[in-house]
Amino acid sequence: MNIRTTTLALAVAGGLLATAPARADEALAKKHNCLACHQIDKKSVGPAYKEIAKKYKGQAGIEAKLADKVKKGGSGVWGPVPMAPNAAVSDADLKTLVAWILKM
Amino acid sequence: MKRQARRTLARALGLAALPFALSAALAQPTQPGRAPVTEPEIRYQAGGSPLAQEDMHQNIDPKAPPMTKAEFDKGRQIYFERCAGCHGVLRKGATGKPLTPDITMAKGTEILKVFIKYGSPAGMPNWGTSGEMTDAEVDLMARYIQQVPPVPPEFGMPQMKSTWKVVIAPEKRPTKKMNNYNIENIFSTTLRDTGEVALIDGDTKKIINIVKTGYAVHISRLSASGRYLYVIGRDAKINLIDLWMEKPDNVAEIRVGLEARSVDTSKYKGYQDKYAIAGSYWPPQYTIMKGDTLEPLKIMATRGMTVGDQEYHPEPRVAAIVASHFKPEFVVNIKETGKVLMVNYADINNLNVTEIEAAKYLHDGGFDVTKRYFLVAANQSNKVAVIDVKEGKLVKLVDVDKIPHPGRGANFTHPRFGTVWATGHLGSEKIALIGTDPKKKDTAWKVVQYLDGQGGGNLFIKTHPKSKNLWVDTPLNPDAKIAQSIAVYDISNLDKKPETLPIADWANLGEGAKRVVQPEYNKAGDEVWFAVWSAKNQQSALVVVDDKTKKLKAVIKDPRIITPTGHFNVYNTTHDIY
Ligand code: HEC
Ligand code: HEC
Repeated sequence: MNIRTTTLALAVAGGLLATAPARADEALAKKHNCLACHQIDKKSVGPAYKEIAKKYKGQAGIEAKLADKVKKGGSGVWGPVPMAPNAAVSDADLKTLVAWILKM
Repeated sequence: MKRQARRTLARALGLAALPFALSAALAQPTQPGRAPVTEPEIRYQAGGSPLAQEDMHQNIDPKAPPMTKAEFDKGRQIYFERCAGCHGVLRKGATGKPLTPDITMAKGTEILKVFIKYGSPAGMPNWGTSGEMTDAEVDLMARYIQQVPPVPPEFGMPQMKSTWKVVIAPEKRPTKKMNNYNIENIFSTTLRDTGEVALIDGDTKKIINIVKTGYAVHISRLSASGRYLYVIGRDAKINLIDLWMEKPDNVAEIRVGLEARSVDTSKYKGYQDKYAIAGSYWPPQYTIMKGDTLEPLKIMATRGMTVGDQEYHPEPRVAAIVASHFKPEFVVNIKETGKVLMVNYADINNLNVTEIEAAKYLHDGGFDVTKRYFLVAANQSNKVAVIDVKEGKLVKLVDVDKIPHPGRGANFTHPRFGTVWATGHLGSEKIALIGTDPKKKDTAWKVVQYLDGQGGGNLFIKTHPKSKNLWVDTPLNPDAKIAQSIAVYDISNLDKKPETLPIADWANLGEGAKRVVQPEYNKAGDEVWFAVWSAKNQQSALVVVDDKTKKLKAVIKDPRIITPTGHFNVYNTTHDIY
């Protein structure tokens, strides 16, 4: 499975220190079904998380914007495919997830 | 609009009813980066299943999103027509991922809708944005796949016996050939949408008879003597045709399941015409029958463990079956478990089956020129498994290109590498030539050369021992020009580019979508026949080409020739010449 390989790749790329928290965040993403549509470094139904990080890295206030987008869902930034709303995800989890993505 | 045009074309072709599939096929990728799955693969895999029409038992899961009975039935029909080919009857996954409720309910309706509507780069077609399904249908399917998968009924001996009919008993049949046809040069042509085969006299090119059969006959096979012709429809109906009759016709019939693809007959010395065997997709099983009456004698289930990971699979479908010339054995290829079964028919009450581990998912294949080695495509592994039918062993798994689809393949002698067996691919334009001479250590069971074809979407490839040409079709290619022409390679100079022949134009059928399918030689090996397959309400034709000159020799047109999708020459099929 892809997820397994990704974890491995992350572990190697991030070095030992980064591994444990990255794993925890990835588990959170998995729990909230983000990985049904996203992969770390490959376009799937949604854009690759690494591409998202590349696009927004360093922009002020971007965390809140993205968290809001993820919560409400929407389309048009990366193409015609919409992200389904993720209304059930808590704000705290959203914050963690967005921060995790932007760190990539 | 472009999309509109495609839909109209899809309708015109009656695509929902095409064998190798459907309109998803014609749906172009609308997103960038959808490259990994080619359209021909989708066309091939997304073919409709006859199970769409079957009544099935249904459990209601209170946790799944609610559906009315009418919605559920519609969802089931769409599922079997469009999704089962990739996701499996029981939704345990094959080319597509598993869609069992534990997985789908965890995702939820909204996420599932996105997948179904927009597809994914890893091979899920974009049913919504291609115009194939409305938003309401997408929503319906997202809810449907969260329900417990309905299980189609089993089909054992009582069901088979109730469909078994001997039209003319063996003792009432002729004791010698009663007609003047050169029966070795008869062609059995599948008329897909009418549920018939046309028996065509290869010498005069006239129709001898049109015989009512199952729906969408998948293949025709001959008994060892060449007297009996067996055809099997996708609906698992087998017809036995006696070619000795004054007018060759149906003498027995049976259904061996609800969906099937393969049939063959005992060819070993002493067993000529004695047994027939058929493999089913649903239920997952094979059936051994009496050769001259189709009386069902023995049914064997194929449910069991997969090769490699050794996990239980509830619906391992039976793919190609061939008959060994070295032993009283059938070679039965099981798709999902990736195993080849050598079924010894010397004593069918104490059946001896040798199980050979190959790779997933076994599909179709053919013998090498000596008939000792059977080469079968494992299409999701992108490999060809080589089976030594004399020793009952796997010889080698040969890496080839994406989604090999050999049909039965093609055998010839390569000017540099000796005897080779060739296969095309659904997933690429390449033709792989595999060395088959075990004495040549450097080239045996290796790809010795790749030829560049016209494009992906190849189904059949053919040559003949008397010919210097290799013919390659591309009926599933999305480009009409490629789907309607044939590439011919010169075997004595394979580095030369192929010639392309506009076979469909030669048929002169006017407007309409058409595809050129399945080159097949006549007995003498000096003519190649092609089916030019148009929609049900449009004219189709068979085109006969002179092998030497590569010029048009004859066009066979007849109002009864509707949706021809392939043909089998009696002599070449009896003797496994390809
Ligand atoms: C149903 C599929 C799907 C699911 C589930 C999903 N996404 Fe998305 N996501 C998308 C798509 C499609 C886009 C691109 C949207 C666009 O183009 O505006 C996207 C975009 C994004 C973006 C970038 C937004 C932008 O405006 O650039 C982020 C960040 C993101 N997703 C995070 C998440 C997180 C976190 C989760 C889990 C809570 C999640 N996604 C779940 C499909 C999905
Ligand atoms: C040509 C083969 C093919 C056909 C036909 C097909 N699928 Fe798929 N489907 C796939 C593949 C391959 C995947 C895995 C895609 C991925 O991993 O991104 C998939 C994934 C899915 C998923 C997402 C599952 C998950 O766990 O991520 C759903 C839902 C789905 N298919 C539903 C359907 C439905 C409903 C139909 C019929 C209308 C259908 N599929 C027809 C190949 C197919």
